Amino acid sequence: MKRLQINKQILQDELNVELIGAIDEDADFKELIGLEQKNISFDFNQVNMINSCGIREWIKFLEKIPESIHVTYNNCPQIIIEQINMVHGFFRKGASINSFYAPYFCENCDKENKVHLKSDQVKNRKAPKMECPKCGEEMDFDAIEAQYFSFLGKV
Amino acid sequence: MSSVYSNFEYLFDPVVVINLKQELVYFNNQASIFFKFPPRLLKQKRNLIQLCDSADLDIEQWLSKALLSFDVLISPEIKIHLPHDPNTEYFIIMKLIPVQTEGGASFAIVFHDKTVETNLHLKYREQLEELKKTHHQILQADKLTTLGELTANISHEINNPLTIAAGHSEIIKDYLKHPNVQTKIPQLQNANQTVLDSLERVNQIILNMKDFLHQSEDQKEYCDLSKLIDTAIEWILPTAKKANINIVRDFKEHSVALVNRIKVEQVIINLIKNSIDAITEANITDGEIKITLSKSDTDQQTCIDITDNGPGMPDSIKKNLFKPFQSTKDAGHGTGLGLSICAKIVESHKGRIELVNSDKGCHFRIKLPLIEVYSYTRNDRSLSGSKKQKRILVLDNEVQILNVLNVFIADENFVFIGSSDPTDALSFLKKANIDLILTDFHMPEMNGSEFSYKAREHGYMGPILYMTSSKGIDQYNKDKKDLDINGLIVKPFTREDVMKTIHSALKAKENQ
Amino acid sequence: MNAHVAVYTNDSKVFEQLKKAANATNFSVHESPDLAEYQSQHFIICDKESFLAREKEFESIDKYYLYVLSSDSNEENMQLVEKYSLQHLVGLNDGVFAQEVFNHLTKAFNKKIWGLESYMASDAEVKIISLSDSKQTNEMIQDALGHFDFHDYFSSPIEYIQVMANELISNSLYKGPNRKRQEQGLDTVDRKSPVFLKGSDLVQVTLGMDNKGVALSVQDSFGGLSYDLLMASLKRSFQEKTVMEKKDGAGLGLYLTFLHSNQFIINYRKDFRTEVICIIEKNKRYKSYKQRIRSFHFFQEVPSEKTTDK
Repeated sequence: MKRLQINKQILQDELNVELIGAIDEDADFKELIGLEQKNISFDFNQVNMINSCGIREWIKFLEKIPESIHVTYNNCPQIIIEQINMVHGFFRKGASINSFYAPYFCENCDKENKVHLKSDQVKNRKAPKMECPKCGEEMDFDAIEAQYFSFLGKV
Repeated sequence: MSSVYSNFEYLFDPVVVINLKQELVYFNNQASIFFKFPPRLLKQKRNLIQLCDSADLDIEQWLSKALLSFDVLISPEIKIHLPHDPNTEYFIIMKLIPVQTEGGASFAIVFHDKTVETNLHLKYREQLEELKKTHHQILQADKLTTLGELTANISHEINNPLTIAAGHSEIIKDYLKHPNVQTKIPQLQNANQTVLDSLERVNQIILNMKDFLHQSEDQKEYCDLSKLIDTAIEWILPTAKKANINIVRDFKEHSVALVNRIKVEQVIINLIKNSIDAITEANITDGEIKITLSKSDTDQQTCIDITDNGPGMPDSIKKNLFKPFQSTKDAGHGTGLGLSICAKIVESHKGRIELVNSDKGCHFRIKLPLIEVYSYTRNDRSLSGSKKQKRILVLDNEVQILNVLNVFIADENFVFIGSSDPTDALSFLKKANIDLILTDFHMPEMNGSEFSYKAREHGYMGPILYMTSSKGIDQYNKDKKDLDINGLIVKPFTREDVMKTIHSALKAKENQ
Repeated sequence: MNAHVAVYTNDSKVFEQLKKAANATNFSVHESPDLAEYQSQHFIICDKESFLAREKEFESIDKYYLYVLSSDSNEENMQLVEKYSLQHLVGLNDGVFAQEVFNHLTKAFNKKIWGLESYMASDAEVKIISLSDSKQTNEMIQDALGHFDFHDYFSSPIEYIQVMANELISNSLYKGPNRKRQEQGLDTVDRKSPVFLKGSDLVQVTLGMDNKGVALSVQDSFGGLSYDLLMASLKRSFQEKTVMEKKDGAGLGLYLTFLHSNQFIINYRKDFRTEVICIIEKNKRYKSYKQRIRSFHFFQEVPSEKTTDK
């Protein structure tokens, strides 16, 4: 598998980082060290896997970011949410989780949909109501809410 | 006959008149001749379709639409066939003029016969295409000739590394026979490396030759001119050495140009070769050819001067120097096309080639526009007609970076203006409306901060982005406040890094 | 080994389901018999409550024969497993648990512990991959997974199998060889360094799919994952849920793999072979997959007993 690709843009006081591929033992965040601005915003939309050594590399990297810097997580895929619900340390204290994906199921279409949710749509770990993009019927949230949204309590 | 109609009789053009039902009500004498119908037969025709037919235009439909406006209308040029003469193509333009006749409102259709003109034009275009093809072939032939003439000496260049490679493989063979071959591993590795290096050298020479012959004709890239000239010299050096001629290079300035590398190399090789031939023919013993690279700020040009201490050139030849088939050489020693091709190539780069002096030896000068001007006019022209594109000035002293960014940026329909020199970029900034500046930080002449300071001083208000390694972050953090630097692209970068930063910076500016 | 199986449960429905599943096998089930008669060479199935009630009596039972059913959380279940050194803990998932139990009893009875044969129907689609190169694993697994149709599954177990395979293969590629290196006094290799295994040491990955589920097996020829090591790793992970700073892994692979599987099975013979099998049952709903209480099985083969290779 190709090594994790890291795209970065520095604009004014913000470092935007886009991660593409697998976060594993070969993920190297070295190139981001020292580039911190007031805010760092991570986009996980194109991360397709994270393994235990990847989590470790990530945590080690987070520790190197000065505490004064505000960290934001965007577009976390379900597989990432799953893994980080099981392991402490993926989210940094004080960080914001902007948005993530969650599974919903449409009985009518007999199909699962991954819905992009903003964190503020989730109140008291209750999944917001969502309609099927295809048939318009209301969909079931297809995970255990308390478990799936537990990451929101970790920051 | 109605007086309206009688006027039509005096015209050289065929005219017919139709009523609002598109029925033919009149034709002049010329029409009878043009449509090849005697008046007697023409009278029997009800409408225009019976006179001519066109695959380009539905005449009936066009007329129906035209009649609604009751205005003077001109058709596009169309190809028609006449019923009597289906194999001949006629090219006409119809002019529709509203007229009042005794029968009420009608239209006169005047036929402008463009058959002769159009046929001539088509023939001309065909010949021009052929000429272009021939020109391309000549260019290719000239390259082949050049290559052919150089090959004898180049083969010597190839022989050298081949001999070395062969020798070292003999050494390897001997070592392998050694009873304690293990102890000889370092020597074996050495010899093997030498073989590989020599073969790589041969490969490089052959690749250069292939490149020279086959590179795409229109491909222009940012090139370091001193490197380009050095490559050209490398080509011709064996020939010069053989003729005992010294080639001296004097590069006053580092200059980058947007050129078709191979073609410009071809020009320089041709000019040097001409000098070598002239010196050899005149039996001059201490032959010397000097190549100078300099920049003229006043007329925003880069100059390449090629001067020799040969016999010079008679006035008779000077006059038609850059015309084809002019040669000072005897038959069999060149096609005489060299200089005319050189001129064409340089012109295609918006440059000029001139003979500065020929009294004591020859002094040719190639002038190429500075890249900012050239890339601007080139890109902007190619985009003319479309809506205004954002113009991005990229400043970097490394040509590879300019080439890479040119691809990224031009791919997304921005106008890319490359520059390798901060001073030139600044003077260009005054003349053109630039929407965004992307500048390298570490440049020999001035760094990114100094450049940005001056750009702001010149009144440039748009976004400025730095490009630097991660070590430049502190400077960015300082300058983003002091000089309003809007972003940083960290080297090494990806396409996404560059394009997203540019888009975001432009968007942020728009939202301000 | 005996085909008479003792069942201890206060829930008659549980017994009924077990009885029904036993009918399709050569086993016969007996409700709450006198344990003294089943002390040796008999399989015993009991729910967690009955087990805890007879805790002392069960102490002397060989855990190879004991199957505990539980509907508690995965974390509590693993605490139970660790505390009593249980080798079989079956999630009391309605509809599937009885079948699962008898599957494993048959496997244990026949003493054919290796491979996916005990878990897959005979017409299952199977792909086998041999791996020697740590840097090729993900591509090869991805490629193999491409051959299966996951149409009837939540979207999608592919991602989970990918992660599980990655963790397990890395364990096999690094931990086994590292143990050997340590024994030879050599430095251990870290996860960032590529490793290449020689022919006899190849890691074998098997993927199988039948109409009940999809299974992944990762087998190495080092036999390093003892029960104690496994328990230590799972216990630490469940308690701390943090990464470890070790050269050959982050200490979370087994834990994550266990939680991503519906059934998690370890086959082990010391210094000879370790096989980890993960099963995800066919399921269209992600929620059901997550709700399923995880099962855990540990089979140890003793060389003197028998070496039945598959």
